Order: sequence, then C-alpha cells, then structure tokens
Amino acid sequence: MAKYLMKRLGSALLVLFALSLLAFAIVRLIPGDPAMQYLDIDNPDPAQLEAIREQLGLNDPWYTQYAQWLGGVLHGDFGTSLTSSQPIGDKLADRFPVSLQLALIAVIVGLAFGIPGGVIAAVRQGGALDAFIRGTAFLALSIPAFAIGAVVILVNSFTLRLPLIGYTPWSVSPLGSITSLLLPALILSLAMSAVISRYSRGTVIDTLTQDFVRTARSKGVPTGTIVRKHALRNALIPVMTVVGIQLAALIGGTVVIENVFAIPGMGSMLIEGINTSDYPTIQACILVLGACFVVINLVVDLLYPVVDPRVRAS
Amino acid sequence: MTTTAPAALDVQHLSIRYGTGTPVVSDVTLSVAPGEIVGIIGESGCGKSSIGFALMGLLPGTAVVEADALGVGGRDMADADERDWNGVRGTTASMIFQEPMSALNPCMRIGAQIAEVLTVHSLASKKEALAKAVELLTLVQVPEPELRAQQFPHQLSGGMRQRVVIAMAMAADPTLLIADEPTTALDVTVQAQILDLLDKARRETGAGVLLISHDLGVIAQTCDRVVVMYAGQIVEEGTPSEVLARPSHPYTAALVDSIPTTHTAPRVDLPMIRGGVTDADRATAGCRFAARCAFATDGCSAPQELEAVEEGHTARCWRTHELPLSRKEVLA
Repeated sequence: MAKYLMKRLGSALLVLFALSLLAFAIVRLIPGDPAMQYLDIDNPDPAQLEAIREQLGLNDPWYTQYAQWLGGVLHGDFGTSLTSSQPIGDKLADRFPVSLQLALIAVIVGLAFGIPGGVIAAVRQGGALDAFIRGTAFLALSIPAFAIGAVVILVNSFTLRLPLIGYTPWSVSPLGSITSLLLPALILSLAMSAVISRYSRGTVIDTLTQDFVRTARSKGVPTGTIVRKHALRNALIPVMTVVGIQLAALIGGTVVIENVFAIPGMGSMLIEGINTSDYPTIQACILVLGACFVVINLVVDLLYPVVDPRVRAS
Repeated sequence: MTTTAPAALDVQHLSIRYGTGTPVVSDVTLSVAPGEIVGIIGESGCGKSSIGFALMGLLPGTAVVEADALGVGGRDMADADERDWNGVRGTTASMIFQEPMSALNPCMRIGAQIAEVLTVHSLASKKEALAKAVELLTLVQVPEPELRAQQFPHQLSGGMRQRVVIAMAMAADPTLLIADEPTTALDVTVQAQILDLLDKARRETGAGVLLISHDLGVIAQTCDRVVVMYAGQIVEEGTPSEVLARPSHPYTAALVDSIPTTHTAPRVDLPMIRGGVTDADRATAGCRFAARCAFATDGCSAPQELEAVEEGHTARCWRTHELPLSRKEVLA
C-alpha cells in the first residue's frame, strides 16, 4: 500500500517536471520576440531592444532561464506580466479559484444528472427510458456549450432580463458567488452529464452481467437492491477516472463560456496572455492547468484503494 | 398432523428454448427427494445448466420455460414472476456455481455477503446474520472464520471461495441445493473436500441436492441417483452403480468407455464419441444420438421413450435389450 502511494506520488512529480519543461519550451518555440512588445513594431530601436532583452534575461542560455523560472515557481513566484507589470502569481490567485469553483459546480451537477441517468438507462436497457436518456445525452453532447450560453443570454435579454452575466467573488458572498456561476456551470454540465451517463450506463450494464450479480440474484436479492448494493460500487470505480479527467479539463477549458458570461477565469487569462505574447503568463497558465490534471489524477489514484479493496491489497 | 415432507424438486415435462430456436431442454421429468443427491450428467450443451438456472428462475428474459409442474421445495413455480422467485431464491432453493473466483462481489466483505441471504429475507437482524455467517464459515470448515468474515474475496483461494458460496447457499436451510459444476474450477484435492461438504450439507439439513456435472467420477462418488442427458433429453436414469456398471443407452456406454482407468493401456488413444450435437439432432423426432451412435439402424428414426430396463433404471433406446453394451465393444 505504501509502495502504491510512493509510486503514484513519484510518477506525479516526474510528470510535473516534464510539464514544466514543456511549458517553458512551447513558449520559446513561438515565433516572435517578446521584447518587441515594448517597442514600436514598425521602427524598433536596436539599442532599446537589446536593453529590454537583457532586462528580461532573454540573452541568457535557455537552461539558465529555465532554472531561474523554475526556481521562482517553486517559491511561488511566477514572474511578472509583460503587459501589466504585475506579479502573475497575484493574477493566478484571483483567477484560479474562479475556474475551480465553476468546474466543481459543473462536475457536481454533471454527477447529479449523469450517474442516475446512466444507471436508469442501464437498468432499463433497450427500453423507452433508455432511448430517451441516450437521446438526450447525445443531444447535450452535440450542442456546444457556448451556443447554448449565447442563446440563453440572448433570450434572457429580450424577456426576463435577469442578471445572468458577471461573477460575484467568494469573499463578497459565498452564496452569491455560487449563484453567479450556476447558469454557466449548468450549461457546462450538460456535456459532462452526457459523458458520465453514457459511460456509467456502459459500466453498469457490464457489471450487471457479471457472475457475482447472478449470485446475488440466487440469494433472492431484489433487482433494485442488486443495483444499489452490488453493481453500483463496482460500476462506478472506472467512472471515477473519467470524472477526474473531465474536472481537470473544465478548469482550463471553459474559455468561451467565461467570455460569454464575463467570468474572470483561467481560460480567459490564458487567451489574453496568448493574444498579447505575454510569455510569462502563458507559461504560468500552462503549468498550472497541467498541474491540475496531474493533481486530480493523483487524487483519483489515491481514491482507488479506498473504494476498491483489490487495489488496497496489491 | 402427519404430512410427508414435499419433494425438494418435482419437475414434470420441462422444456426450455431460447426465443424461437430449437428447444435446449425437452420434456424433462425429474425429482429429488429430501436428503437425496441426484446427478445430471452430459456433455456441454446438453441442457443441464439450463435446467439448473430454470429451477432458480435465473434464465435470461429470452428463455421460454414450459412445464406441467415446476415444484421447487413444494411450491409450484411454473407460472412464477420475479417477485415469487425472489421469495424462493436463497431460502427454499439456492445455488452453487461453477466459477468461485467470480461468484462473489469483489467489493463486499465475505461475512456481509453471507449475511445478506438472511437479512434480505428478513430472517435475522444484521448483527445476528453476521454472527450466523461466522457460524456457517465454521460449518464449511473455513479456518479462522472471524477473520475471513472480515476479508474480501480476493484474499481467499478458489477452494475457500467455493466454501463461502456453499455457506451462502446453506445459510437459510434451503430445501433444494442446486450445484452447477461446483468442482470443475478447483484442484482435484479440493474437489473431494467440496463434494464431502455437499454430502455433509444434505445429511445435516435434509436438503435435496441436484448436482450438475460433466464428470462421471464426481457423479459416481457422490450421487444416489444419476440422470444422463443428451441433446436436451434424458436418455438414461438410475443409480450410479447400475447406470455406470451396466449402461443401457449407447451414449452412456460411450461416455463410460471414454474414462481412462488404471487398466487403460499406455499410448493407446482413448475411445471417444466423435462429432457433436447439432440443432438437427435436437429437432429430430427419433433418437437424438442416432447420428453418432455405432448401433444406429433405420428403426432409430422412430420416437424413443424412456423405458425400464430393470427396477429403477430406465433408458431411451429401443434396442437396449439386444445391444452388447459392455465396455470396449461400444465403439467398435
């Protein structure tokens, strides 16, 4: 068990290290000179350019730059934004909780609809309810979230005129914060519910054909109890992994919805950084978003032995 | 009040087919008395497992089960629905499966899985049921029963898991115990222990046991009576000593003949029954074994009835009295 934990932790650290290299390299491979941000593009002064390059450390060898950057990151210093001259760490501290909150609400709603949907579809396999749930899931998957978001806002602006746009920070009002994200989270959770319901439908159907379910039936356990007590836990173990990946993907992958609802999250921070060639910001965003995947997957890996006794033993 | 105990099993003219296909079981009449072990033997696909599952109401929804009577522990289940079956499963009739490695829920403790039989039928409180589970583990000779009750299936060996399945099947003192190839997946040394356990179970609880196997050795060692099935039909029935020593159906004789014995010469191929059962065999009005039988004649295309060869010994072959059905000559 301790070996399992160490192994997972070790591989997570390794991936994080590789990720930092990758984030660093990607930015260096983008054509263009970041120092040009500060100069008149049509008529750059070579001396000034050189001075800025020197100041940003762009003349150092790449490994020196990398070591300096990584050293800073390990101390919580993500560098300074080229466009706003503000510490990137501060901006991350503003943006990340918003994205995390949005993603978490979306996942919770997604689970609340996805799991029961998948289980009901599985139990009623081939029936009308199954067809309905699968059809709805298919529809939810095929309409992009931003399209639904735009339509909702458009319709609202002509009819109810509810204040749907904007974000209330958690520090101002936790409840207001949650309600301000509810609609975008709901829209994001549509696809999430669809993915979870389709996946869990598959695993539940698969589990219900297993021998131990037949054993439970032979004991006289009614179908409902079999699903709840025997099949569900076994079926949901693989669903956990999918939910983890979805959660991580949502933290950075909600750019368009963030724009539609004017939510200051990680996605828009990354896009702003890319648009302004603000390479320290891009680097920081890639690292943080990647780290989310690593950490969430690590958490899922650590949850496995809790829910699956077979993993606990090995 | 003197009432005789009802038969553990009383099946009259049972037929099973899947969808609109040819029947996998046709017109099987079978009974098991309390405390009796009856074996069903036959090769894969002869319908023996389908019978076992039908007696538990565990066949898939596509299966069509027809019977004049399906008496399980004195209750006629011929027209039973799922709710009726749930009242019978685990209490009146219970089942032991072929594959102990996958028959238990991997995420549930052993004790809880056994106790569930009692709690689901409201026969005991959760606490009593868990205590009974430990008792049952002791009964099926699982060492350290308290510890084992707390463990998960993957922590137990195959033989141990089969004991757990048996403990589960015995938990509510069923009238009928159906064992579907209970020893096939186990080591030979463990096989004998499991069979002893079944024998002990019926002696202590008075349950009737239906033992489904393809292993003549297992049947001969354990059963009071044996039913030989071929292509969904009973072809011979009697005590193991009669049936195995004096097989009266060419199929049984061939089956007996294909067992290696200590007299079998080394490096000589064992006799075997060539070919396999086809749908056409199952659909024919005449003898279903005729296509593979060394003694088949034109007369074999007429319908065959189970007829007595001696007291308590029947066979479905019209030529049985004229055939030299002793070993060696069968597949000449």
